[in-house]
Amino acid sequence: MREKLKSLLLVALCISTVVLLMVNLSLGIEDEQLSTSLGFYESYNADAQTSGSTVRPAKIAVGGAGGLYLASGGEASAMWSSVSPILSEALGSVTKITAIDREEFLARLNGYSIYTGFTFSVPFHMLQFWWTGEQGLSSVQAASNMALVEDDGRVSLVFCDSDKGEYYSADTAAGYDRFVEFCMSYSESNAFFAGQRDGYQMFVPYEPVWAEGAWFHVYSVSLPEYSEDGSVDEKLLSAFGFNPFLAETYFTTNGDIVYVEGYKALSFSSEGRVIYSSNGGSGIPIEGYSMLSGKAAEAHAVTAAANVLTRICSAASCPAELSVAGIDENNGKTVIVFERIEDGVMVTESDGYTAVVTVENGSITAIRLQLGSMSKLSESMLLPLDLASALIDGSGNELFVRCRVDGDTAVPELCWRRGGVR
Amino acid sequence: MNWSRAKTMLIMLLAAVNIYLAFNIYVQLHESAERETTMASEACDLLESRGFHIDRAVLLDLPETVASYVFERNEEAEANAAGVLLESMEESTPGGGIRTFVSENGAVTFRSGGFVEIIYDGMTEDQLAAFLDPGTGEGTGAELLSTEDGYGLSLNGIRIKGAKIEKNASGYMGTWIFSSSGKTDGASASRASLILNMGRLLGESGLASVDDAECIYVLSPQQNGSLRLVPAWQLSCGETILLMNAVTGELMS
Repeated sequence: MREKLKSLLLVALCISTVVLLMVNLSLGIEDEQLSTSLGFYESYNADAQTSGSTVRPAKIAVGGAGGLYLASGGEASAMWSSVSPILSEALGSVTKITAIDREEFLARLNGYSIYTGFTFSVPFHMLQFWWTGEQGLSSVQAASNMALVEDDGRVSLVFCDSDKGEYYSADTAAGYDRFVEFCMSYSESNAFFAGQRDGYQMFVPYEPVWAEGAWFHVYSVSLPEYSEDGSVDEKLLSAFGFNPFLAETYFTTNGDIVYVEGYKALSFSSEGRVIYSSNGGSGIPIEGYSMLSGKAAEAHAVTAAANVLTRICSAASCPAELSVAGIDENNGKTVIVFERIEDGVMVTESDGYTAVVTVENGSITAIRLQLGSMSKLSESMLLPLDLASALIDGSGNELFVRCRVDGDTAVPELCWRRGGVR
Repeated sequence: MNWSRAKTMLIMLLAAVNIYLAFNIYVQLHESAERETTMASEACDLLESRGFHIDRAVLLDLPETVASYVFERNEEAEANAAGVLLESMEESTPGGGIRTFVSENGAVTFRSGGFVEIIYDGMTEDQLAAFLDPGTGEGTGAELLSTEDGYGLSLNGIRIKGAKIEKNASGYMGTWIFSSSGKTDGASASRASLILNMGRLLGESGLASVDDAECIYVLSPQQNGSLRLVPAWQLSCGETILLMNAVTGELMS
């Protein structure tokens, strides 16, 4: 009996030793992390999640109780966070899309609404896939400007393709009460649609225009820092599928670092420019691409490319939010361009788009990416639209605020589009 | 060698190791708590030396560390909650993450971003509390809060701003967490960094004193249907109420 008790005590002591040892090892990290390590809360892996916002609107406005409220400065990100669940359920529950005329489209914008504007005409089925994860019904329409509007106790979606001059309406199952409650929370107005006032005929009539000057952030831009010997972090190389031990390293006369592994090459410039190319090899494979076809595969490839870029930016310690700015398909190659978003404002890099990705046969075969970190410096007021409009000629223009990177600063500026961003 | 004697020696050895390990844990926890309190106290000193008037006791009463959490949408938890109210219910999914459960008693609709609508005639307080009870799951620190207008939710004793269910014309509606488990996303902040961020924010806002400070979670719906809880400071400065992201130190509203 005594020996049995000894054996039991020995087992109990062994177990408690292991537990105490584990707790000892876990200490030194924060309490919250301790609860994570003990399995109370798992760690959330953001990389494993699909990108929720492959494309982001460049303009967001709410038609509220007091009129139209157009987000400016840092408001756009907060407003996007509030409206994205409502937009997502509306897009995912679209049942039938019908063509309408421009007058009806404009009339539907009066009253409660959630308005979004994109920098290009986004294929509607892709928008549905990116925002809801569900395959859409249509593959012919595109949306450059879109609004959720109230429609006799329901929520309808109206959108237009400004490139083609086509207008559409669709019924949705979005929650009416939530939509109205959200819109009613905006009791102040700071904007109006260009068609609602005289003197703004240079813009499309559905262009939201600030009634007064709007404030936006000015940013300082810093480039990524590589190690003193010029080598690039292993984590960053791995994000491109390079093996740091197998890749050969070269230095160019202008100071670029080039890694070559098999048919793949990767170069980093001191200005933060990264160029990846794969000739004859498989490139960076896109998981799940082979199981899809046609438009679904294309939409999935864009989301995968966005996720790869996000991972690369994080690995370079230059986290950036990216949004699709255009897709071009030619001879089996899909070229996708991305632009950076900072506080909801699109950024124009010194040499154009933030990233250009080429997808071929389910693999990413080329990437051109501009790395950099942005931090708020000050605020700047844009020229009021009643004054700025005098500088814009013609008609049918669309307005955008963009941050232009110039050296080590990024400054907000008014841009207008007439068949392309200017 | 005598096996019984060997066991006795092993027991003594392991008991000694256990005592050492337990003592080590106690010392580390004690030192960590003391270090954190010292840092928080020094942060308070720094703020006071810069002319900010803050009740030290309010700040030192706050949790030592707060982290942000992500709750992914859980269809099973939603169905369980609906099952509390509805008998022989039928489910429909029109798309966009909308799930509606309908029975003779009423209807419950779960929407993207944790939004829920309940249409149910003659629902009692107990029934509503039972419906909301699954919350974030047992043992996770989630607690139901009764408010003037309906119900709220807290996590680890910290109130969640934005999680509320209120009565409307047709029943109840609001945003709630119906998920069995949350995940930390790695973002956290210590009490000392909270205090320093608060000082910076007060300086930028031109305010010199804080009447009250409350650590809260702000519920932020994500586009993929999940919910993020962001730790934040709610600062009362006279009639001004500021909301500051505790992790980034940025002004939220």
